[in-house]
Amino acid sequence: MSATTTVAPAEQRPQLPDNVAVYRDDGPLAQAIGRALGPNVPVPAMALLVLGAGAILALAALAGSAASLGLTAAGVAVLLLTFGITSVRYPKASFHWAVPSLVRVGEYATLAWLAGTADALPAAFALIAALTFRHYDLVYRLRHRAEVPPRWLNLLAAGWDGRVIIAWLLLALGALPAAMYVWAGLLGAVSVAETVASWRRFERSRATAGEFDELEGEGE
Amino acid sequence: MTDTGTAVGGRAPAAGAPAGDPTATTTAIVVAGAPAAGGGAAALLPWERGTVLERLLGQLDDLGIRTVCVLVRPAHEAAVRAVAGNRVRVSPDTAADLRAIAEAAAAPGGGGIVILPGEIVTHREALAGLLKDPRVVTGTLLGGGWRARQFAFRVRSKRGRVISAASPYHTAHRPTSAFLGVLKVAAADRPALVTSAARLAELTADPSAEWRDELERKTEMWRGALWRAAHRGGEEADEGDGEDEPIDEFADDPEEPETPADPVLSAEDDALLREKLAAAPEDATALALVGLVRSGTHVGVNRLRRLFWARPLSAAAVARAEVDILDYDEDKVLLDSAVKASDGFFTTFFVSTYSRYIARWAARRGFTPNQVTTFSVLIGFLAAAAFATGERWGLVAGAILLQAAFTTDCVDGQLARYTRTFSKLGAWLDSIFDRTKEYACFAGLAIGASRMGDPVWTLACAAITLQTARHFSDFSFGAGQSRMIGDIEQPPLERSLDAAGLAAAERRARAQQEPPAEQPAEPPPRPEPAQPDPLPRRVLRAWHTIDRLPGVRWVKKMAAFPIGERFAAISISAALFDPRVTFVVLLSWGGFAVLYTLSGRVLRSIVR
Repeated sequence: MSATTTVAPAEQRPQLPDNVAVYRDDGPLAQAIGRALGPNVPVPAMALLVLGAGAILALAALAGSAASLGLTAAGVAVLLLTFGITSVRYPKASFHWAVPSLVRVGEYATLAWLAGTADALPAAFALIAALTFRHYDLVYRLRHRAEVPPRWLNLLAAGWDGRVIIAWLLLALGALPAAMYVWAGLLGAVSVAETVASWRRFERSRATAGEFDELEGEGE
Repeated sequence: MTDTGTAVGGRAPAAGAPAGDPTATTTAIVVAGAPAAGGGAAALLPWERGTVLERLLGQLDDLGIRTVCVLVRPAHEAAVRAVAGNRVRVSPDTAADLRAIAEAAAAPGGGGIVILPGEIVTHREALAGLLKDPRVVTGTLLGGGWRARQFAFRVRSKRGRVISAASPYHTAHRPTSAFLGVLKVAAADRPALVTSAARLAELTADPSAEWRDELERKTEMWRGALWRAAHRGGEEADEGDGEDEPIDEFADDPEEPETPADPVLSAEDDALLREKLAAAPEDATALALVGLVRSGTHVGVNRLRRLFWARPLSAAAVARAEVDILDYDEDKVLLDSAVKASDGFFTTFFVSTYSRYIARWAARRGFTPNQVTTFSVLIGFLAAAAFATGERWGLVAGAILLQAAFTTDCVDGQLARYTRTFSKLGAWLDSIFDRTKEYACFAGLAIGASRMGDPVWTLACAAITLQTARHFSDFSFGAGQSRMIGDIEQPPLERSLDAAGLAAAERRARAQQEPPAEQPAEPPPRPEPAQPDPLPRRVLRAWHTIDRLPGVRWVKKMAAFPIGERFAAISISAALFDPRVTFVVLLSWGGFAVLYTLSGRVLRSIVR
């Protein structure tokens, strides 16, 4: 065996994806919004992210479960615009660490708020729990195996943008909570199954990709 | 894996070195150039019935390293050959050592290489800790408490990576620990070693004025350190093993006596200094480390913890080491160091105190860390199910089960560190199951509360969102820091100062309104900045300064609401009150932790 075959497939090393981009979990729509509007909106990325997450939290706190379908649609639109634009526009590098958390807060809060208006909070919890598996898996996959999930899985998960739209459609169709439980179950099952399968492949190949980053104290 | 087969002195693979493991270290280069006091090679100093070198070769053999090459000076060839057989290679000087290292690294085939000095005296477990840890691909053995190891070259590490290393001719600005001579180079990093060692061989053959000045500066530094040690009075305190904590060699220490301009040493200290000065330029291992670090290779960190380590250069020092090493209970040190140093308050004082004994028991029963992890998540699910009853007995049972799950969770990591059975799968299982347990308990508590007619789903959704967001902030901040460390531009090997040292020299030169110093002049004892630092920097500095107050470090750790504290908060509030109280506690403490970490990170991001 030659010395170099023991490392990750050569094409993986140089183009390790940017952590923030992976953690954000943008879908195609968010990226399209970013490409279309990103360069034209002269508002700092950080302000947009705080505005988007803040708007959803404020709406959920003030209107709460009494929000009309129209108001929820407006909330979703604000989130898509503000977060979508930042999918191509990042804040200054030293503030990158704040981006993924804000995206998660915006997404999860929207899902909970939408479900709350149909009295389906337990279903929202189930969906968020399934999503946390996906999101932690994005981190651990990159950390331990220097990989990102396969394209089909990302498309199936639909990105945060796709998910808030689907949730709103389910709400508008009156399909909550049943459809959200089914969604959560499917998403969770497929994510877990794919992860287990990819770990089995990884363990079989015994390849040692990337550097193990223990992130002492902060990795948990 | 096909080994180099015809390896000099090749022998059957020892048990414990799985064939085909790409991370395995298969070759050792033992640099035996350091002279001993009174002539001869330091590696040939007598140890029990043999020599220091024989002891080391036995340890390497025991660790499954099949190819060994001992680099020896011509004068000592016969004596070393008597010990190491045909595994000897004659190397007239340090430059030749480095060329030999480059050649060995360039040889086709083979796995990882370990480079270490022949006079090293430590436990087999200290070597195993570095060589058998698959998480450290290329790495070094480091130790804190450099005052006790005053001659060891220093390194600066950050986030488990060496960012600067010292050698006889190089300095490490604001060092964090001492390099203990052992350098492991993964197969993948061999090309970097070939290039850098070859370049270092050229430079070492005829050291530049800058390099010679640096060695002169080190001589004065060691002289001063010896003088201060002699005049400090009392025992030399081992500072323990600080994780990447900076130890500034120019720091104000009120206890420290002022060093005179030309310190006069006792005869004994003077002999010690002369021994070291004779050996220092022969330190090809330290130079090889500098070469790798300066070439941007990711050099990881493995710590000695509280095991014994010495590089004796005289018969008297070996005799001392022979006695001192007996004071170390290897198993106890191993077990103690199986406890993660960076754990929180609750974990450190209420769980790790006894969980390490469970870990040892599990090791003796032959349990694997992954079995323990799986067992832990099963108990976690039981806890969630008990919470879901909503009844008082269920809440109490859930609280107890959750603590049992948390203890087993600590056991798996300690078992892995104790038995050195690390795997990426294990690390992944551990992390993902921690999250699973925590969020399953959130679900259980919320279901239980609904059953009791008190729906808390809004709070449950808020709690899971807050915790996930907190984790993602940690992940991203960590990734950003690691990326920045990787982006540090390393100066060429010709320069004695490292990147930070050069920047500091430039700042000083600017402050003094002088042209930038071309040579690494002796740093002025108290570099006065031209103007006061900006406010955020001063706040940060004050923030780090209060860490020295007793207990402050633990309070800071608790404020960040780590996993031990979270699980304790869940258990106590659920058992004594109800799920609503639990979620309110989680949200308030977690919210406070967000503000706390956020302010720290924003400050750091501004300062940068």
